[in-house]
Amino acid sequence: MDIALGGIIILIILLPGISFRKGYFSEEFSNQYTIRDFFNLFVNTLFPSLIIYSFSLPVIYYCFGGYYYDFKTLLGVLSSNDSLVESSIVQIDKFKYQIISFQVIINLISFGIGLRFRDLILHYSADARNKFFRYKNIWHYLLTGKFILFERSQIRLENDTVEDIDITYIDAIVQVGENVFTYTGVLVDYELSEDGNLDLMYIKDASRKLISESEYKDIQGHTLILKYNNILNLNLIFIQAEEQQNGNITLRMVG
Amino acid sequence: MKRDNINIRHFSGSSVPVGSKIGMVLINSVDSRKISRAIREAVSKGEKQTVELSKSTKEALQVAKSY
Repeated sequence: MDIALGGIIILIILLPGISFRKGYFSEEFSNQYTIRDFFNLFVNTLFPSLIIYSFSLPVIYYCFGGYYYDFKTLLGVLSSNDSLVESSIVQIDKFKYQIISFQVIINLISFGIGLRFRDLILHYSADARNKFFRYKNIWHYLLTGKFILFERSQIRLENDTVEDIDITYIDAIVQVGENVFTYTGVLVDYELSEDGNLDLMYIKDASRKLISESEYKDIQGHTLILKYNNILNLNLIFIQAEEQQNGNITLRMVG
Repeated sequence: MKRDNINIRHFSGSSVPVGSKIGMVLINSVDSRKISRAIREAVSKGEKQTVELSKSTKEALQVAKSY
């Protein structure tokens, strides 16, 4: 058996799990998607792959004219017996379009399931409440205030909930040359570095002052980008905006 | 069609939900600078601050509510 061929077969078996992970660890959690060693890839994708196959194979069999996954052919390709390998390849060649179509469809569905599952986990904050679902992006939990829901969190909101947070406001102490400034503004987005640490923070309607001064000066422009490496301290303030009957709003810290 | 309560933050998988829908409307409104200053006041004084919104921001909030 050619080792490369065996590797390709195993990869094809694991592909639905890989696609599921691609969906589940997308956007701000994409640093968790990449797995560099094969053992971890195998362990983390085999289980979702098997689940997806066990659900999709009966559907294919009953809904699309009796097609089924012939494990004899599959294992035949992995066999050390040359004639068995040859007959398996002939068999695969006979149904190549069906196999390719099946793989494309099952991988797209796996990706969609991963996305949907991620959506549900985030929507119900299951990732914050249960460590099992927690993503390895601590900044997501800190900047959205979801860390308050952690079991070990000592912070409790008396009157509000995490869902009441409308705006995350920051005070950042930043070293610029020999001067130390306090920057404040509304957090609009952030960027992680490759190693999963915070890299950039985007703030809007920013102001700054020397740490020794009392008055803030507005910084004109659309967005101010703060580099995390230059930030000495970061103060997060979670704000709720309550709409009044006359249409105006009242702003206060959640508590 | 079910309408979202824009006063409640909905976590979704599509992007970083740093704020709620109402927060997004306010941040992107013409009153955003006023709102930013009011937040700073609320934090330093420790009490709630009321912001008088412009007509366009009020309308944007109504539009956001209707979706």
